[in-house]
Amino acid sequence: MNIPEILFYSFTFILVGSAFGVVFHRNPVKSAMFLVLFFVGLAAMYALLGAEFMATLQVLVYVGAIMVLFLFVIMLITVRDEALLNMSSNAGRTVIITVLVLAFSLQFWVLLGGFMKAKGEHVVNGAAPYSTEVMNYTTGEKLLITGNAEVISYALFEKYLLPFELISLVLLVAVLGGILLTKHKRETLQ
Amino acid sequence: MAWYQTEIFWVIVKVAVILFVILTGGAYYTLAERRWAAFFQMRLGPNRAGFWGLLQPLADGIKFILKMETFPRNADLFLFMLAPVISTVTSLMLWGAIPFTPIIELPEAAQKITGSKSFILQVSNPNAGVLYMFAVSSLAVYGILIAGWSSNNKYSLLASVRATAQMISYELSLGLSIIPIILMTGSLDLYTIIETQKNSWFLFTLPGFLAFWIFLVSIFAESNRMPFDLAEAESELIVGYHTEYGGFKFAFFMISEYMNLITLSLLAAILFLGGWTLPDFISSAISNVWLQHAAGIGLFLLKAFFFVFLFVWVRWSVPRFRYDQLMDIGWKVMLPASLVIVFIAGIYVYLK
Amino acid sequence: MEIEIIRIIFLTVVLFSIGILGVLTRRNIIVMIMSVEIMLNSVNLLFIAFSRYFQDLNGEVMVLFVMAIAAAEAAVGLAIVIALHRNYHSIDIMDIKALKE
Repeated sequence: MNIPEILFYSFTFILVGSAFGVVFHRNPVKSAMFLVLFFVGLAAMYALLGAEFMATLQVLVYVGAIMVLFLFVIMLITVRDEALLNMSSNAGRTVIITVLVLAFSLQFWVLLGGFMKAKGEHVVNGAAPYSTEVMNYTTGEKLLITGNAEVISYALFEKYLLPFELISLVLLVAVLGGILLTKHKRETLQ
Repeated sequence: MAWYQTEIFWVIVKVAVILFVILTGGAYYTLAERRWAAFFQMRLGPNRAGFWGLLQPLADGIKFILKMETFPRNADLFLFMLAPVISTVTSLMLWGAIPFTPIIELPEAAQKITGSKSFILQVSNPNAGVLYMFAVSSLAVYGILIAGWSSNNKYSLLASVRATAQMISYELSLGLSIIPIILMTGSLDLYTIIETQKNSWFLFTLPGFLAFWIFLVSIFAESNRMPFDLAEAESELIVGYHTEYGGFKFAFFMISEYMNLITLSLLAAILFLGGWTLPDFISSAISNVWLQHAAGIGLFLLKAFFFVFLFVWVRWSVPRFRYDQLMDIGWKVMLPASLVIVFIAGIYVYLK
Repeated sequence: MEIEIIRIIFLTVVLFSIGILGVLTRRNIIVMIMSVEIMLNSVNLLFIAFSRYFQDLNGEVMVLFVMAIAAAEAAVGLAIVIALHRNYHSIDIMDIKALKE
């Protein structure tokens, strides 16, 4: 076993373990903590695969912003009514669904295993950098750029410019929606 | 190749040196803050332990270790112990990406011993250094959030929610205030950012000058320091999110706070004041290369020291904001202002 | 630094199934949203792995968009949770049945 494989299996262990922790821990705060661990493990996996820029963004966006929001909401809601935490599901139903879902994923395993029998052929090389040829608009010359952040930024602002702008619109709408929903007056429903 | 010529050995040496510097730096910053605070208030400050009180951090450390460990009842013990660890580890991780020295060409004799041609006191150079700094410093929120939640004390929880809300609000304007620099440099690499400022610091360009003030206010808010230290409003919230922490666990929070302040000072010196670069007219006056490096690094530390002093200076001169005022400033003044500055920077770069 | 792609596909299938499990079995709305995040991120991992495999960065750009959408989704979803909690004083999915009765 070489070092990347050892790293891959340890990250896999962290990812699967923390995902089970999110789903099965009874305390939502602990669930959220497991989700933080999951995102950090996923960022490590991205870095292992060679997508360092995405790994940094994963930590920055998911861990630094989204999960803080989750923890805020959980802490503010559950501190007031601790009794509501004890929501137990129907045990029999849980077992049935668990078995069904595991069978579903197992079926995928078998199917995919049939497709990709050849070992050591289809590998992801984490060390190989992207490169792309771009044109400098002011001078008109063509230049080859390599590296993660540079190549992605060129793709974002040339090929995917319209989706990129639309995403900013979506985010704006989400901000407005969040403010409107949480500022709702108390007497409106019920 | 001998064992001392491998790359990993030198990385370990660098980590050891930087850890030593950062931990003693953090400890002595506490002493410096107390001495300077005493100076501002016309007192003497701690001066009993050793000459000028220089052994005071050591005495504090011994006291913290010897204290009895106390735990609040019904606290979540694992998370309670984890919180100071997260705070400390994140503030230690930030130092891994800071380039303390330029790339120094080693002389013949040293090349034979170390087995490499050049030397730089930087543990690793990540692909996007600025983003790495932001990603790791955004992890520091969890130390505070977990500390407040797990100590099972409503004042701690309120303080931690306040502190984290403040930190993530100001992280926005902090991130936006750095974009003008990235636009002007065209790189996310800290080393390149320093190199670009060789002859003119970013502080002396129009967008850089405007962004600098946003950056300055944001780092005060980001580190929960005085005009914005709502997390530790004694009259409202006892002492903040670490109310229930005593002994060495408290020391961890304390030292990580001061280490963060030093990191932010270094970052300010790197991003706006040119790091260890010397302008041409100075470097041409100094003939010896080693003297040039020494002067550059000395100047870099001096710039960072100015910010270290500024943190204390402001803390003992300015009263604290009210919480809603703080949030108003963050969202209604700083954020639009930094967006406008990004716009100005875009025009500036386009015209240049 | 070489990892076989089939192992990553297995891993993402397992993670996606765990996410489905969370959505189907849990009754706490916030935990359900978190399970959806797990599913989204397992797909992201697959995008990144194939993007690296084919040396084609379109997958990474897609992950960037998914992250932005996930941020928007989390903001709106949590706002809805807060509104629900305000009106029903509960975040149990079984208590929210105003339309059923």
